[in-house]
Amino acid sequence: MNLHASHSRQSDGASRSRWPKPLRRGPMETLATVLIAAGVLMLLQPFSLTLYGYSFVTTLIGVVMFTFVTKFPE
Amino acid sequence: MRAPYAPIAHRVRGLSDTTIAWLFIAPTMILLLAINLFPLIWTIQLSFTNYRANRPNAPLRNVGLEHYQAILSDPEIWQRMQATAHFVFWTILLQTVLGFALAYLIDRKFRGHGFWTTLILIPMMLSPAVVGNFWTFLYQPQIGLFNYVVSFFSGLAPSSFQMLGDVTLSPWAIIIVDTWMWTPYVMLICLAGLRSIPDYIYEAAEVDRASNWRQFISITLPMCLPFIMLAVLFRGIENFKMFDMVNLLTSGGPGSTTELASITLKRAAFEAWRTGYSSAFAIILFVAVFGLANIYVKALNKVKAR
Repeated sequence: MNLHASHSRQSDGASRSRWPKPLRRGPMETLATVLIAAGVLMLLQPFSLTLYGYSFVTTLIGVVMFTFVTKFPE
Repeated sequence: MRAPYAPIAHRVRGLSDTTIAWLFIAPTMILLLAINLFPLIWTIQLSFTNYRANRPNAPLRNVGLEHYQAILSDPEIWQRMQATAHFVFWTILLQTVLGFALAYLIDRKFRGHGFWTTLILIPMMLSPAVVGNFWTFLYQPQIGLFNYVVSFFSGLAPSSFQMLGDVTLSPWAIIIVDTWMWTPYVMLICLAGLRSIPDYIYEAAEVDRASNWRQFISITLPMCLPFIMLAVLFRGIENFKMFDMVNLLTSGGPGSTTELASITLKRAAFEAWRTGYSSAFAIILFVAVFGLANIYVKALNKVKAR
């Protein structure tokens, strides 16, 4: 009984969360992961020196973003 | 009725359990902050200055992002990053494939299986300095065993090629040594994964008349994936920072064909004494490794949750 009550309270809380949907953990984490992967690939690729030049900034933005968004609600 | 174990705070007057817990972990926390966080912050600070460790009393000048700009627009450093990428990619690929294959074989019970497992694990237990030194001898064109083995199978004269002196062969020479040394480690992790699969899953698959190949694709591989990814994570990070073994084998040569990022970093820091510049380079490498670790941990959690 209690289990059901707490479960429904939790789901109500989740559905009524005021946190903006696009800023939820899942999509933001994916975006940060894509940025990190792109940054590392840019750092190690053999095709363009310009891409290599922007690799650190891209990775850094991804890492900082990842660190923050993992604290966002699901 | 009195509880058999009263909270510690009841015995230590005036201190709560939380305080006592903090007192216990404080030394470790302080040590970790001192040896991890403080050097990191100091390195970040140095990366914005013209500091040279061989001239500690020289006036310190703030150079802003100059070092970062220099590193990220230097075609030579870019080449070193490509050499690192080549090394990391091939070592991880070979170690994962060979490590998993060995684990798959060792997992089957056969006579002397313990002996063979121990024998395979020996390279991993050696020091990289020892491995670097004795592979230098193995790769000797005149007396080295490696050249004789290759000549036995290929028909080439043993002294007709130099693994460590040839521009084309030397990147592969360091890949071979690293693969030889660390494949057992990947094997050990994969073996743990294989042994964690319960037998009843295979029995159920047999009942459903699943072929061996089907069982491998649908049971063995997916259930081993978190372990394989863990091995890839560990080896990827380690090889991105690879220094000792390559430094002993080739010192980055011939020319700069095997000069990995960490060797360039060491040269900038302790041969050219450009401490500020090398700090900036270290931060760039750190951010890349840290980012990769984040991705892998995320992927690992996803696979585990599946």
